[in-house]
Amino acid sequence: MNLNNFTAVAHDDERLAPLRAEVRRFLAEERAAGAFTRATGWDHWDPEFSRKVGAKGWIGMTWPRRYGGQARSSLERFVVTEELLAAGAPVRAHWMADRQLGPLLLSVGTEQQKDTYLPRIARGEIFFCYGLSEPDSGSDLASIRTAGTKVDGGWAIIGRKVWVGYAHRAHMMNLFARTSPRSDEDRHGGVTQFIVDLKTPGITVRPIVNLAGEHDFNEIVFDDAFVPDDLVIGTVGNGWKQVTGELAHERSGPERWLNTFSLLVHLVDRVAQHPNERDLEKIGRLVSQLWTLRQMSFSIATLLEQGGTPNLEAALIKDLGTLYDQEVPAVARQIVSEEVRAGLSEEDYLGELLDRALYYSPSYTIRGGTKEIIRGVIAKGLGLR
Amino acid sequence: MSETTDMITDAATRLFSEQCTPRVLAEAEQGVFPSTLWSGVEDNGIASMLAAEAHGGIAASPGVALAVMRVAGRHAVPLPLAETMVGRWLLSKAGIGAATGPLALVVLRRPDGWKVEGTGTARVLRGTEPAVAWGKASGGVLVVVRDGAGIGVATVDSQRLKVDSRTNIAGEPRDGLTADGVSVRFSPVSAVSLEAVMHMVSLCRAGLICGALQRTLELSVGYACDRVQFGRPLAKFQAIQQQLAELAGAVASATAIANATANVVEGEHGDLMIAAMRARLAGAIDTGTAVSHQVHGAMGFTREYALHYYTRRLWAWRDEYDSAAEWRERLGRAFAGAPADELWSRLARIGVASGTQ
Ligand SMILES: Cc1cc2nc3c(=O)[nH]c(=O)nc-3n(C[C@H](O)[C@H](O)[C@H](O)COP(=O)(O)OP(=O)(O)OC[C@H]3O[C@@H](n4cnc5c(N)ncnc54)[C@H](O)[C@@H]3O)c2cc1C
Repeated sequence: MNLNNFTAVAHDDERLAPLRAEVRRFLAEERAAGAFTRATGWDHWDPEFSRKVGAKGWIGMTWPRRYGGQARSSLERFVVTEELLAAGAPVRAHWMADRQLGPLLLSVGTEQQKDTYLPRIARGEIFFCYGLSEPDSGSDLASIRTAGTKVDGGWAIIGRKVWVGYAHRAHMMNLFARTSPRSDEDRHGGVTQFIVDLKTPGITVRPIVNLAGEHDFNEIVFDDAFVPDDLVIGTVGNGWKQVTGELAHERSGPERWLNTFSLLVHLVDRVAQHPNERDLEKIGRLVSQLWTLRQMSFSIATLLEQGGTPNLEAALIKDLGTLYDQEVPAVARQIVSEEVRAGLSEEDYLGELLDRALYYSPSYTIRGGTKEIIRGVIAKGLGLR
Repeated sequence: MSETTDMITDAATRLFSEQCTPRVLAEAEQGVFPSTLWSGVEDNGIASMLAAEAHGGIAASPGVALAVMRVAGRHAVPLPLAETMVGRWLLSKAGIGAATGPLALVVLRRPDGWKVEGTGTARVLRGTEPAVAWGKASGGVLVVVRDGAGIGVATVDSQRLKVDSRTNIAGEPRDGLTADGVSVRFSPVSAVSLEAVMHMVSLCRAGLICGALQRTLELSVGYACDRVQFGRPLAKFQAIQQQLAELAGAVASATAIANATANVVEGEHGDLMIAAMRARLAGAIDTGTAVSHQVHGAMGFTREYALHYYTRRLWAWRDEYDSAAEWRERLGRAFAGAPADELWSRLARIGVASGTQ
């Protein structure tokens, strides 16, 4: 039960400081050129912007050079990522491939898969979505029923995925499908990961409009869609085990606590115009949480760089980070009443940011593993299960 | 650096786990000063660790002090450790050298309370301080006061003060001390601000807080594994697991911010980092005390079971050396005062400007 692994101090050494400065210069120029505003947000799909980020060498930057990467460290990636996210730059298009698919292919992909996809991902030319959830399988992912059946030269996929973010914009999907029946001995066996071209005949993508009135996730129907053998990722039946290695990366990053940063910036501005003790205290509380989370994420990036797998620590960051991201709009609403909000001018991003942060706030503790599932992971780390 | 940490934390762990028995803790609350324990603290070099070598210390870094205090907090050590360590650090900075015995610390930062009258080295102390940690039990009370551009310190023997014995909610001495024109010898201290004293004592207390929080988690996990209800250990109930996960988050976040703060406390942005730490510690204390009690049921609500030694201390420490609310407001003001667009660069700069290691 050692929770004292958060020891690294967020600190830019000679390697990180110039990189951070370069990212900030790039972002300032892009913002000045109108590529994005504070209200855009990182969870926004913008292929053109992703290509610019790719041209800077900031997609897949930890990957080997021969696959289009820059062979840089996790900490360098951490710096680039937090700068992009804090600025609200639209990086969603390349996000899943940069964070998850690329590292997955590097660890279990074939040479051909690496050669085909990694350089194009790194250039910001090809975008991936993730198809895990199904109408009857959410937290209990081992229960998925979308099935891959062996056919000549590949697999025939039949089934349905839901909540797939940006499937209507992505080129490819990392699909989780069952390739042998679920057994009681090995609940997690028999699941295989595939790379699926979303233009494959037999695939239909239908929009699901979310609470915010926006279309980002989708329902996908697979009606006998063919996936060739060479697009199986890793080993058939081993899909579940293959993802667990990436969980620390997935859960510990700044995307778990920077969803509402632009709102905080505008809120601080608002409080500065009408300062009073009560509101200043609220800002202090939020800033202290944000700061702590940054220290924690930085510590974990350091551990990852040293080759550790801090899964318990990463789950703690996801839990605390997502709760913090929910607290920001809740506090903002105490400071900006509904009447004040209605009267804000359209040029004032505060209103727009507040609406979006509030609308999206329920999703933070659902996506990427619900709060309850994440706390189950922590409980396991404490030796309770 | 890490070898020193290991050596002194190992010594502290041995000492406190042997000597901080339930009996010592209970007696301390009855007003018995644990002298044997204190001798151990002295013998192991803990009380003077922040002082310079010339003054009997080892000039330990704030990070080492934090680590040792975490051990002390884990054992609810009933002594003015933070006060004495910071007091001797200050005396060492003042060039006054080694003091002996436990020290109480009074940082004059409010218009009410003690006044230090006069100029030069001979001054007069007047007024009442309502809650001085170990004011009576300590041989000396170290007063820290703003003086011109810097600060100065003076030590008074508590026997020369009128004492109104009181305690905080943890049963630790917090005495009212009244001075009716007591003459003291005043020494200016260069290169230390009044704020820096508050920061150092806050950091030492943060170590105590992290240690106590860690202990509430250990006790809670242990209890949940042992206690059986409905035919199963409590630990097997998901509702309990979820609460303990939340408690672990509180402990981890407190530890993370305290570790980070120790490294920058003496740097350019130490003030902001300390304020952030105090604010976050308060949140962690709220969660930690509530969850650990809930998981323990009625057992945790008794004097017999040890949990209260930690939770009552956490409740008290949350708001000593200025309240959490004051620290939160200070932090909010620091950020609201700057252009909002700089919020991120200010947050991300802290480790940059003052990164010590
Ligand atoms: C904005 C957003 C984007 C998403 N993007 C994607 C995507 O791109 N690709 C994809 O595949 N999926 C995506 N998802 C889906 C997401 O992964 C699931 O919503 C999540 O795994 C939870 O599943 P569920 O919604 O079916 O909830 P359920 O699993 O039905 O859970 C409902 C509630 O019950 C609780 N619960 C469930 N099981 C337990 C248990 N054992 N113990 C205690 N409590 C339990 C949950 O914690 C939750 O509170 C997205 C979701 C959102 C909100």
